[in-house]
Order: sequence, then structure tokens, then C-alpha cells
Amino acid sequence: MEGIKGQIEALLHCRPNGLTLEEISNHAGVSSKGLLKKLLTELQEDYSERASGLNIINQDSIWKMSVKDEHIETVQEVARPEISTAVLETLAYIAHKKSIRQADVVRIRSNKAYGHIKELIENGFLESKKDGASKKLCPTRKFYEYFKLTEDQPLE
Amino acid sequence: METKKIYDAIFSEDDIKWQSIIYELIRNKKVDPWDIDLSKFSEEYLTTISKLKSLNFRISGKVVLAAALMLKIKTNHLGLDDFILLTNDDEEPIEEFEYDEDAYIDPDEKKIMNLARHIRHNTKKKYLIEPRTVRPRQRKVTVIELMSALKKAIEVDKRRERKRVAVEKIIIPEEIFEAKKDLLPEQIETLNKKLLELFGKTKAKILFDHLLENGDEINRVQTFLPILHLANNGKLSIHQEKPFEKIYLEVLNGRN
Repeated sequence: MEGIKGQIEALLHCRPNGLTLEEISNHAGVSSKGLLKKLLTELQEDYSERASGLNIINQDSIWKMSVKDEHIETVQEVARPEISTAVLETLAYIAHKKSIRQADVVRIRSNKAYGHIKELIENGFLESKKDGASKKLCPTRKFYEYFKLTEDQPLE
Repeated sequence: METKKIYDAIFSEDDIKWQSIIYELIRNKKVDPWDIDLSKFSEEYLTTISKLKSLNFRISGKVVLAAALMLKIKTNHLGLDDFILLTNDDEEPIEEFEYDEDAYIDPDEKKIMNLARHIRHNTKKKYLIEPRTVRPRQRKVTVIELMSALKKAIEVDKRRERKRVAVEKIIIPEEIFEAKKDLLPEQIETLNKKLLELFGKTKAKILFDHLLENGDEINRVQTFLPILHLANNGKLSIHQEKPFEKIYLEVLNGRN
């Protein structure tokens, strides 16, 4: 079992963007998803128990090795942020407005905002609802959880 | 010498064979991809271009494709398949990276370049070198970064708003829109009559200022628009020696 756990750890280390259970299963050559889930949870506990700078997270069914929140400031200059500057600006603007028409975001943030919005929806930070000819965008629960904010907290 | 064959294959007119020649030479180990100097390659290209009497986009296209192809062959030799995701549609797309003053510079980039140089000079050892994790690990974005991004986004919003207001300010005044809208044949005809009257008296070029009811800008534009129509219809010609100097109008044929 420890051998497989080591394999999983190595895989998570080598793939910064994370892996699905299916991918871990293929690479480690272990077909039992139940066993893999159990080992991943154990690995998660191992990391949280020891004074490691890393942790194992499961984000939208993707297992990732990530830097613990308390060390993010330390690695700020060394590691690249998950969300690029321009995309983060678009996200911040939408979150500040709470709910805004996509057309208005594009008017303010230029045509590039279409790409930003697509990426943010794919990553689960935004949700889009139909609003006449346009779409209405609002931050998701994942957004609030990620930044440890509450929905009633004004973003300014 | 074999490298020369690659250059010749690319710069020749034959569009079919050149790719297979490159592959064949590399497969038969007659040419080491590391020996293909891409800077010499671009020099050859410039020489060929300067010799051409007319522009041949076919050669430019071949050169771009050949350079990409060779770069990919070299990358594959490095074992960094992940580094170049140009042709595999099923792989994740290359992240769009926008230029930004605060843009992140990949510290591994220099290392990769050094590694490539090292392999180039140690061709015998090149297959022994293990690929490294080339994608830098990403970190979570902090709420402070989110706030500073918001500050920037709001600044952009304000800047755009200021620009929009400034543009609105220079929008043509309502009166001119009115003048344009009401630029009916009668208005042109009235001015035409006035011009003929003045021409009948002086038989000379008419100073534009003499047509004005008052000196304000709106009246100037309102008067000038029908003149442009008359000039366009060949009824008069407009003269001005230098910009911002007096405008003279010459009635053509005396009776327009």
C-alpha cells in the first residue's frame, strides 16, 4: 500500500495542474478507484499532520498537490499564480459588481474579456445566466470559498 | 554538407519533397537536427528573398513551417514533448499569456535554454538526460492580489469612462446635426441664389466670409456644408491658398 501511496505522491508532484482519479488510476496501474480514494485521503491526512508546507487538495474532482495557505505569502515571488493578472482583474471586477451583464464587462474590459470569462466559468469561479440577448455573470460559491469571503461582504 | 541539402530542399520550387527530405536525412542519421542552425537558416532565407524579383509567399510559408518543424524535432530530442503542444489537438492548449509590465518571468526558461545548449554540445549524452518538470508549480491567488486586481480594474473602468465622456464632448453639436439633417435642396438653392447675386455684382471670386450671417462656428459650418454640395455638383470651385487662410469661391460658368 505504501508503494502505491508513493506512486500517487510522485504523480501529484509531477503534475502541478492535478490529476483526476481516472488519470491516477491509469498512471499508477491501480484499477480500484475505491482503494485510490482511500489512499488519497490517507495521503491528505499525512500531509496535514506533518509540518509540511504542502497539502493535498481535491478541487472539482481534481487531486492536486498545493502550497498550504499559510505559506502562500512566502512563495508569492517564486510560484506563478493560478489566475493570470488580466483574468484576475476581470474576475475582481465582476465580483465587485456581484452581478453584471457580460456585454458590460466586455465594454469595460475589452474583447479579451470573452476569453477571461470563458476561463473563469470553466474553472468554476463564475456562473453565467441568460439575460435577454446577453448573459448575466456572477461569482460562484467556489469563488467565495477560494478567497475566504462571504457573499454579503462588499468587495472594495 | 548534408545540412546544405535541407536548405536547398526548402528554397527550391518543389513543394512536395522538402518535408520528406528533411525527415529522411534525420531518420538516416545523415543530419543531426542539432546541427541545423536556425540563424543560418534565416540568413539563407533573407539571401533567397533578396534574389527574388517578385514576392513569393510560398517560400515564406515554407520557411515558417520548416522552422517550426525543426524546432519541434529538436524539442522532441530533448524529451520535452510537454513543452511544445503545437500539433496535438487532444492536449491542453497553450495558456494565453498577455504582455504585462508585471508579467511573470519563468525562472525555468533560462535553465531550459542552458539545458538545450548543453545537449547540443554533448550529443552523445543527449538521450540520457531525463526531462525535468518544465511547468512551474502554480500557487493560489491571495485575497490581497484580488483586491489589487480590483483596484486596477476600477482604474481602467474610470479611465474608459473619462475617455467616453471626452469623446462625447467632441461630438458634433446638435445644431450641426440639424444643419446636416435639414440640408435640403432649398437650403442649397438659397445659397446658390446668394452666390449668383454676389457674382453678378462683382464678377470675381467671392470671399466665403461674405456669405456668413454672423461669425460664429456653427454658422460657418452650416454655410460651408451647402457649399461643399455645390462644389461637388460642379457648380463652383473652392480656393484656399494655405490652411486656415481665407476661402474664396468661384462660380463656374457664371450661371450655375
